[in-house]
Amino acid sequence: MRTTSALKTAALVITAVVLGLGTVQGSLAVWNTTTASAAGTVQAADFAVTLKSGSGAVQRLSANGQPATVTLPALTGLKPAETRIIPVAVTNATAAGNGNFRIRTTISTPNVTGAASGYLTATAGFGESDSCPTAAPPASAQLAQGGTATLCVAISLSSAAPATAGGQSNSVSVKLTAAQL
Amino acid sequence: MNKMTKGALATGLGVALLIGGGGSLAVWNTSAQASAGQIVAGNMGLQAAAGTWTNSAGTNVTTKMTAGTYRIVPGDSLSFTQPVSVTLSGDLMKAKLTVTDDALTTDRTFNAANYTVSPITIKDSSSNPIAGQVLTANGTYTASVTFTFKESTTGLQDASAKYDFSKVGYKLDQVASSSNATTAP
Repeated sequence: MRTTSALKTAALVITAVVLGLGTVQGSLAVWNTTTASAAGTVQAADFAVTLKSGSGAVQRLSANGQPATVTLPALTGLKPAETRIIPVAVTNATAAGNGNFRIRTTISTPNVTGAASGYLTATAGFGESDSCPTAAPPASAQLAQGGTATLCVAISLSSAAPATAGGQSNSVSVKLTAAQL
Repeated sequence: MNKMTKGALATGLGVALLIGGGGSLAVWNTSAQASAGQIVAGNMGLQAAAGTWTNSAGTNVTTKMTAGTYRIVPGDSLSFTQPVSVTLSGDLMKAKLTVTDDALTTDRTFNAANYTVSPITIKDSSSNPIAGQVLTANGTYTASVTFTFKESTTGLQDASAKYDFSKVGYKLDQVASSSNATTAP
């Protein structure tokens, strides 16, 4: 009985070894080689529209893929019946690889808030090159890649503004949107 | 005779028989060379040449892609083509050429809704795909893939996103001669 049991065990072991060797030989025991493509990485551009007013710093209309708020230099000493224009250079600075990335920038009607807002009037539009037109500037401009337009924000203080309006702080906000064409 | 003596005699007789056997080798003998020759193993090689990137305007932008300075925008697409040379040496050498891709999720940050990537194909000189076919001779094949940044992308989605192709590679697997795989024409 002991001999029969030992023979069975030996036969089982031999069968397992043969099967194992046969399986390994059939699937792995051939050559293979590899090589890399070194193809590189496709990277999307950052939608970059920059704004610059006078000697102020260059600011971006979007940051990290999110819309941003751009603060322009303060306008001080505005007198009744006076109109001042703040020119802002808007540049299509997106570094698109195709070199043909065109955008349209559009502005909303300026919104004036503050204690003297009832006496303040603000208009905005785009001028050509570095000048601001005096009447009815267009509310949108198309910019080629690397191109610049001038956003003109005109702010007037009514001649009827009372003395109590003096020294008050007011704010003018203009929503500027840019879209790829 | 006692047991010790019997044992000694038996040992002595055995030694004498061995000596006698040695004497029996001293007869004629001769030999000859088989001239069977050498067994020399074959070889297999795989080499990817420099690839070419082309944008949707048909412009070759390989230099910028290599430098990492090309930036894709919605509506643009980039196509990559690359010659892949296969060297097969061996009388029964057969092999299959496949594409490997070990990129991780973090290597590809575009939103799935905003891009498409064509399957990476390998074609022969007649522009026939060789996927699944067994190669039996040397040859140069062309691998290609196209990445498209969809024009329908909205807002600022996928600004500065990336899609890494650098972990794409090729693998040449020998096919055992006993295999019944389909052979390339």
